[in-house]
Amino acid sequence: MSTTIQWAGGAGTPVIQPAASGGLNTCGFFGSAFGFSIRVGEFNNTTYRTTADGTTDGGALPNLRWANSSGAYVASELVATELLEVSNAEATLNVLLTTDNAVKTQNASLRAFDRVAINNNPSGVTIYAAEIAKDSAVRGSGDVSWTIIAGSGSVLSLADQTTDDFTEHNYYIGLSATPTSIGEKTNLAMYFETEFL
Amino acid sequence: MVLSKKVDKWVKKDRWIASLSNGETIFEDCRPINPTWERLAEYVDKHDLSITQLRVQIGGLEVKLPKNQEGYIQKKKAWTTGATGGCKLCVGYVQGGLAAIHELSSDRSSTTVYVKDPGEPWVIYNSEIRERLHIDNMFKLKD
Repeated sequence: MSTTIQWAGGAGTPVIQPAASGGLNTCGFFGSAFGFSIRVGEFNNTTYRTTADGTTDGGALPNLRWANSSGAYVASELVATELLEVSNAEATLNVLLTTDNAVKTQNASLRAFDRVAINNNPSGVTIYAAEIAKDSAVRGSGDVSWTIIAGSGSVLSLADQTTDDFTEHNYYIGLSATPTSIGEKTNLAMYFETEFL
Repeated sequence: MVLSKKVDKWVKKDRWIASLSNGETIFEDCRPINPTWERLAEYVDKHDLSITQLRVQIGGLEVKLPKNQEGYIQKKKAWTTGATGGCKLCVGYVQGGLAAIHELSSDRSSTTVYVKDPGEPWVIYNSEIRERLHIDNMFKLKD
């Protein structure tokens, strides 16, 4: 079975390329614009697709900035939005599982790690994550509040998609990052897994 | 209900194979319809059959699960870090509410995990257990 997992912005673009490409394979968190730093204790004002060293602007990804335990500033908004009211297209990431056959999925999860081992915590940065699930005008059914994800100790569990069989399963994830010390943080990566029939 | 009872054009090299209580053998196929496991579940239910053994052929190896268990599990696991990724074929069995699941990769690596019985549709129970579950469900509906 040919199975692929693609990472992209919430609206499906831009696509974050596989790491092996050596190209625009990274989701980078920045301050007020591309290349600007985030102060310690503050959160990302912008999110971009970039290269592993964070030097190339590969296009903006939707930005969600942590506002409170259950809310985020969407893009450049000054008033916080409840996570349940954030739309799929406004999510930082769209993780797309594609399979040859239509399948159901369960036990999908996302974790942040240090690029060394998936059980390790990321280094020098705290990552807040929430599942976004709002594809219509109706209030969403994703996460009510943020979860700090760190290695295997705290992962973001994503909803099972078992009502019907599909060849494409989309997961929408909001991310917000805050550095815990000064300096560029590169010891951070994401691990996604899901089970399917 | 379409199932592959022999190796045909729909059956790939890496696959699970189920032996049934009526002597039939079912091969995992890649028909562009719903998953073989779902079709097998419908088939054994319709004909009051049980899976008597489940085996897997992957990366040139064959792994056999113990015979005549309360139920058998099959699922896939896809994962990625962006830098690397893959897909594992997971098979297992349930006994007494617990499941032993072997996660197998085509590079011949494997991991075994022990978890709570994940239930249907991931598990196909034997006919005796299915009958019991159906009776339990009837009582629940009456409640």
